[in-house]
Amino acid sequence: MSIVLKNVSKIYHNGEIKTEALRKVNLSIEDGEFIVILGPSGSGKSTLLNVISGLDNVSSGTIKYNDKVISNYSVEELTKFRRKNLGFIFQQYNLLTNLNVEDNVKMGADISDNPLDVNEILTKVGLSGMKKKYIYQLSGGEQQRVSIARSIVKNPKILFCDEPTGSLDEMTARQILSILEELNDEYKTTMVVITHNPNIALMGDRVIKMNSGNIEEIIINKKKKQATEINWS
Amino acid sequence: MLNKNVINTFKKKWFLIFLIGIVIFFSSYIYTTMSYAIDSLRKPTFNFLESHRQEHFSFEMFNYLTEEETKYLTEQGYDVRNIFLLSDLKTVNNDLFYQIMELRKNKFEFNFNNYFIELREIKDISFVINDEEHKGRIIKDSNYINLTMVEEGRKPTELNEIAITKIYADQNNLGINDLLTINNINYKIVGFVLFPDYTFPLMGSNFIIDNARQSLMLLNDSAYEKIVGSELFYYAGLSKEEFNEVAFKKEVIDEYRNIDDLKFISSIITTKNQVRSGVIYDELNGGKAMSLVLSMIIASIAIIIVSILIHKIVKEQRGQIGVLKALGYTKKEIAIPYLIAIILIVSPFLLIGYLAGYYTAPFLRDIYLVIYLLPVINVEASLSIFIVSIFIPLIIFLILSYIVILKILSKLPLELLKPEEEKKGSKLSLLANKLLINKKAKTKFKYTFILRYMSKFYIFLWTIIFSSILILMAISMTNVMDKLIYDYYSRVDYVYQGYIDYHNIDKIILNDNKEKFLSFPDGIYKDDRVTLLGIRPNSKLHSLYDKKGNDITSYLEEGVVITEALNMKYKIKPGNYIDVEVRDVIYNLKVIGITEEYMEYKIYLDINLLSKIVTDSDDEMLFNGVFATEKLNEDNYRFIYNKKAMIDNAKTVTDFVNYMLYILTISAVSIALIVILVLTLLVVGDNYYSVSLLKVLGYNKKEINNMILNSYLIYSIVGYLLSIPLTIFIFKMTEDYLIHGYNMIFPLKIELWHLGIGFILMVVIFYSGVFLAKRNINKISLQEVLKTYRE
Ligand SMILES: Nc1ncnc2c1ncn2[C@@H]1O[C@H](COP(=O)(O)OP(=O)(O)OP(=O)(O)O)[C@@H](O)[C@H]1O
Ligand SMILES: [Mg+2]
Repeated sequence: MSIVLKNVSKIYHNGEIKTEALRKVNLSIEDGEFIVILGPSGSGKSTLLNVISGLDNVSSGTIKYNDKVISNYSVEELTKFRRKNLGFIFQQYNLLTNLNVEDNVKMGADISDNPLDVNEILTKVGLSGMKKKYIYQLSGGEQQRVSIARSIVKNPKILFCDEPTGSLDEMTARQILSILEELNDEYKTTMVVITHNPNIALMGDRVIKMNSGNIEEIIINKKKKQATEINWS
Repeated sequence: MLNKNVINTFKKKWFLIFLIGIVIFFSSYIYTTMSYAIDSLRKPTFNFLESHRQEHFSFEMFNYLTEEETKYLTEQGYDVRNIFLLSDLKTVNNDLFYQIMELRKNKFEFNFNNYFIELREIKDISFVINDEEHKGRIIKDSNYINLTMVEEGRKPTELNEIAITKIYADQNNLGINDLLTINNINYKIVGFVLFPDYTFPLMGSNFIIDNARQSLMLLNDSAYEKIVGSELFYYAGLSKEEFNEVAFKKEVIDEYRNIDDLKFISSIITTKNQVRSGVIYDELNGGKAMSLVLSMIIASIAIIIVSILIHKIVKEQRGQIGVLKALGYTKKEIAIPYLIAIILIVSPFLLIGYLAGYYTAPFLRDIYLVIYLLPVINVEASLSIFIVSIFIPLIIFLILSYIVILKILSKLPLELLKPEEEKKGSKLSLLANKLLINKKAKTKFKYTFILRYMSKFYIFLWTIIFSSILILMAISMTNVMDKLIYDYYSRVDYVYQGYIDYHNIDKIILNDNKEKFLSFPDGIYKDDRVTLLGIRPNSKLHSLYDKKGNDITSYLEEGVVITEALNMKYKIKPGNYIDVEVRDVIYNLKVIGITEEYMEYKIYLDINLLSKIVTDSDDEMLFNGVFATEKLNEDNYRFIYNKKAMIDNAKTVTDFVNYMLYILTISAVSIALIVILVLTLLVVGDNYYSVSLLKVLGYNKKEINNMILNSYLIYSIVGYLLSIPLTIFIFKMTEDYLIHGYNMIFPLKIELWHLGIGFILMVVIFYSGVFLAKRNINKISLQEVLKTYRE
């Protein structure tokens, strides 16, 4: 599934104050690409990810998935679209605390038409031994892996990640990134990953540099680095 | 700065606060209005009963002369062979009657010299006003016990003067100096009166109290003797010293049956156990206790919800509080703005509840006065009620909130600055997860998420149980009156019931439309007086039916049938034998069936058998009344009951009771609705992020509503189901209390259709609450999930 953004703007109105978070952004993302979005705080990275993924509406411009213009979709249509095609991972893990690990992942599997096997995914993210544990019994890294497992088990065509390793230590972060890399290789899942860390950017096919609501530069990595190879500091 | 912040936080939750406010209002309103209403009756009533020498006990007598008395009269040279009833003696020879009464008084006071008694003479009359049948109970003025209280005007001194109850006068637009026509005689109303032994003017054995169509009346003594009516007598008694219930039972109640001289007494009842004079004590004392309990239950629901809300608000502010603490603010400085906000929020609702209660108290008091005959004073503001309804709840609100706030504030600033750790699941939610082990993750989420917040869950469950009980009670009490009165009358086929004037017995011509019966009201079974009613086993006009609706009239060929009322008190099973005393002779009767009749303790038997028992001979022919489907000739009967009039009379009381029940149901429903709504909103708030997350994952509106909101449904149903045995238990206790304490038969039965309606109401309340909460869920935005700080 390819994505095309045309003149996408996003303006937040907060009382008197107007914030232009995106200014006429044009971008296209190919099927199976690994995209990294880089930029200083407040530059509009999250906003970009939110509007691409339909979590937020655009102020102007269009967003097309193949030939579907999702920027005109109603809330119900968007929900249906997300349900079928998209996965999300956030800096905060957003797990359901009244369910155990396995059931949290199943919550993702249950809404998919062609889910992957829950056990297989849990093994892939290294949680096969923790299936019955409750969320409060897990470390931050383990929680993030549950969150990843939940997103990928529904077998999304595109996975959006907003600073997935933002609150993790180096080693755990590397593990998580490896999983993303593997998914991209194995299932050809399109990846859109936001990060602050320029080193992580080396993992992407392309790096989109944001600044004050504009795409400042798009860098094409001739040779992607593996998660294990990147220099952390 | 913090002040403004606190105000803004509360402002955002105005809808929730408003709903909680309604619950707070209710608690203070119920307490205030009931306290004021009852206090304005309690004081004057207790004064009145004391100063007008309310009887400590009373005893009733069999309506016939003892052998000894017959002998005495014969010795005095009177021919009393034809005089069978005490009431007849009085009409035949007034002097002899009083001689006998004096003898009886002396015998009683001789045997029990700590007590003295006075004869109470009463005549029941009926008369017609505007085509409606009205009833009067004329009470002869007494000298020592149960003194007449004149509320307004004076006592009648002339033959054509009368005093009546004020409520009757008001209801019929009568005033002092107006005329009241009773059976073609005009009486001038000269005063309004009350009697200490008739605060609850129960006339006859069924619950027909309609002070618009019945009145207690006072005539002067000669007018009393002149007026025609059915007369009854009993003795009222006072203790010479302080009355002691226990001592009285030991000295008198347990003894009198063993004293041959006192065989004329049929039953002795102390005031506490006497409905007409004693039930007011329970009503006034119990009413006050009930108002306290009801408002405490409601207040505690409100208090717990407020604590939860405060907890939530303070926790949302944890980051800022952490900063303030780090800056060096003390706990007190941080807590005070919250406490001030609570005072500002809670006090108006308490105050409005108090004021509404104070101003509506007279209406509630007047509702009491529809049924009870009591002296009244105006509702006066009382400091203690003000304190209990406003200051005490306010202080409890403050203390609990302060504790909640302190708990959070005592954490280290650093801890407050960090986002909160994931909460450990409650035991119950772990258990529910286990129970649902093979179910879908969605199902598990649905049934466990509310269990994460145990305090909310418990309030939810208790409110449902509490309001279900109230709703079930209200629904099932709507047909108590039916059971008491209508059911009996609608099952029997007669229209008129005539008691024969025994002089005219030869004039009665029996035909297909008439059927004779023999009624003997003076049987004794254990502690109670029972009516023996002889009818034919093939009776067409008075068939007997059991609970299942089967015709069991023919059972009388093999034994006797008792009423359900008698069974409720003594738990007699079909097949048991009962010993019934009739004029000192004990008969052993086999109970074959129980008929569903709650009006009185009654034993049905074959009329021929009863005739033999009453005459103590082989005479099978005796009867003293007829059931009829045709109009009876009034000249031949002492009195004639018209079934339709009885049912009509009952209707007014039923309407009144139903009106109270509607109010009860509406309050229960609104409290349940508000609490469900408040808790749903709170829980939705707690699960803001989960909801947002579910939306991001792609769960649609319907699925989310179903998971978050409908999860309550099963717990509402559990609460409802739990309330059923509790209601049955409460009913059973009430029934037992009334029947053993007052011989008052009050059938409180829950039937299947009551449960059905209760269930439907519960579901409707539930979905209304949920419907209102839905808006809030739909408002939750997808981006919530992206915010860094989460609960
Ligand atoms: N809901 C909102 N209302 C108003 N302004 C907003 C809102 N969300 C974001 N903004 C503004 O839009 C701009 C872009 O924000 P965005 O969250 O996209 O930045 P970012 O690049 O993700 O920053 P960070 O790296 O800190 O996450 C910022 O100036 C921010 O203040
Ligand atoms: Mg961001």
